[in-house]
Amino acid sequence: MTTHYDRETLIDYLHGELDPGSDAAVLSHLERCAACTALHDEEAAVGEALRAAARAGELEFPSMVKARVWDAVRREQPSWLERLRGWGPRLALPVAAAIALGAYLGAPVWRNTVPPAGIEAAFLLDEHNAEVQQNPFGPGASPAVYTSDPQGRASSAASYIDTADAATLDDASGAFN
Amino acid sequence: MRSTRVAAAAALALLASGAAAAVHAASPPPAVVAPRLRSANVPPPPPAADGRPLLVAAAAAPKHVSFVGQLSSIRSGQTRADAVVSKVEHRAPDETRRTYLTPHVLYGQFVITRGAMSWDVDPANKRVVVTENKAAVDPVAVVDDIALVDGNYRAVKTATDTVADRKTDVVDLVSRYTGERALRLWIDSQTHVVLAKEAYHSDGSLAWRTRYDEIRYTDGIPETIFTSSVPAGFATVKGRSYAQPIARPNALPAPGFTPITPRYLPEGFTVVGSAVTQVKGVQNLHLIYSDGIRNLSLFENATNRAIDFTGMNAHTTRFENHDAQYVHDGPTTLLAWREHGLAFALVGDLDLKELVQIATSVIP
Repeated sequence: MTTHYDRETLIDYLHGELDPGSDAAVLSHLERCAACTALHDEEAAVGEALRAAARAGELEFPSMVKARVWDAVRREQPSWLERLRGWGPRLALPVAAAIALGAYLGAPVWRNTVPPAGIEAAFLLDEHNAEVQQNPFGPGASPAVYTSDPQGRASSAASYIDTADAATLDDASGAFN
Repeated sequence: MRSTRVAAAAALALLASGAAAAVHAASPPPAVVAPRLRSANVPPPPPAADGRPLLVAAAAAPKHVSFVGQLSSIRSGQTRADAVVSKVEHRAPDETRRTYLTPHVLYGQFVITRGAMSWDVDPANKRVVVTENKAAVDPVAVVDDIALVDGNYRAVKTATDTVADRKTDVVDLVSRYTGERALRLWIDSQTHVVLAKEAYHSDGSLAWRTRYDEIRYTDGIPETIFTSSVPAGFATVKGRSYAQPIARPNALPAPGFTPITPRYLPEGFTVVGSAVTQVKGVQNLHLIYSDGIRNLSLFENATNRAIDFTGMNAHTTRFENHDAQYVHDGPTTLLAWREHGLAFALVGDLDLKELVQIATSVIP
């Protein structure tokens, strides 16, 4: 006894919605079964007819509407950026050079507007450690290192060394991570 | 606290009588009165475990004992520890030469201390930095320090140990507020020189440590090694001066703006000094707080300029709508922020959380 596929299954087959196993089974069956092939072709023809009808039903814009749209597009003026874009690579190199030159020449002006840096953290650590080292219950004296005080004043700051090294180490550990 | 003359006088009495008691181990330890700082909840240790006489004897020991030794110091950071090794030659009562052996950047550098003055000889930079020491300038300051420690910490003799082949008494300084051990001292049982110290963070981890690897007591150290003459071709640089700018806490210097003090400090901390320094033409106020062992610095100036962290791996944080930056330096943390046209920086061996808590209470 030959089992035939129903219409719903064949529609799903046409739309590629069967699972791979069922899809293969239907394909194999259609190659051997004229009745199912006829039903399949019928469904395929209906689907094609519906698509043809849908295409035929698409409405064309009235010609006046299309004309007004195109007229509006033509009246729209391109921006200067769009015009420049039209020049493309022909302008890219000179513009980049001009920007670089401007940045180079303008840097002193910008520097004048940026607030100067505050007191160095190393100096504050130095001042703190100098106090710590005065404490008889503290870790004891350390040598002078900090020298960037414009008044030439220097004090005890082994921490300055530690800080510089620690910064390097932290960077290294960050890279490692 | 330094204005608390009662506590200072009591500590002075302790310094005088307690040292003798410790050295001779005969009389019972004298009572120390520091009523404003003492917590009533912590009972005094039994006499046998009371480490205060040893503490006082240790503070006085360098005045009577000469020695030569090699000292190792370790400062523990977030990701590693830094070590400094130096040779220490001490000639009682007040001459010390400390020659640095490592790290390499310090090799050959030495510091000579004679009384109030120190000469920091830096061969690499061909300069001598001359500084003035607090303790030698103001002997009462040492007494104040002891009084402050005694007010905040219970000194308990916990054990005996051996350091640099010397028998030592181990004294723990335990916070009267938290019960945590903050500092451990190894005090030579015979000479009372402190042979090792360890400071701990609140979580119990090591903050820093100093330890004599070897020590030899001798009266034969020649005077010549303590000479303060500046080598030919070396520049003399003026370093810190204790007389100025450090001032007494009650005499707050005028920084040119209204100083802001924190409304919150960890228990036991009190202002112990203040200073105004000129840095890059800026009046910078330095308020100094201490609980006797740990120090805390609050810097402020009216420039509204961010602290310069150049060369450091600064991190950002945020509290009370303030963008702040902080950097770790060994066990020390620096937290900087700006508010109402003032630039602030807090520095101390405290957790970042504690520093933020203090910073939050600094309200211009």
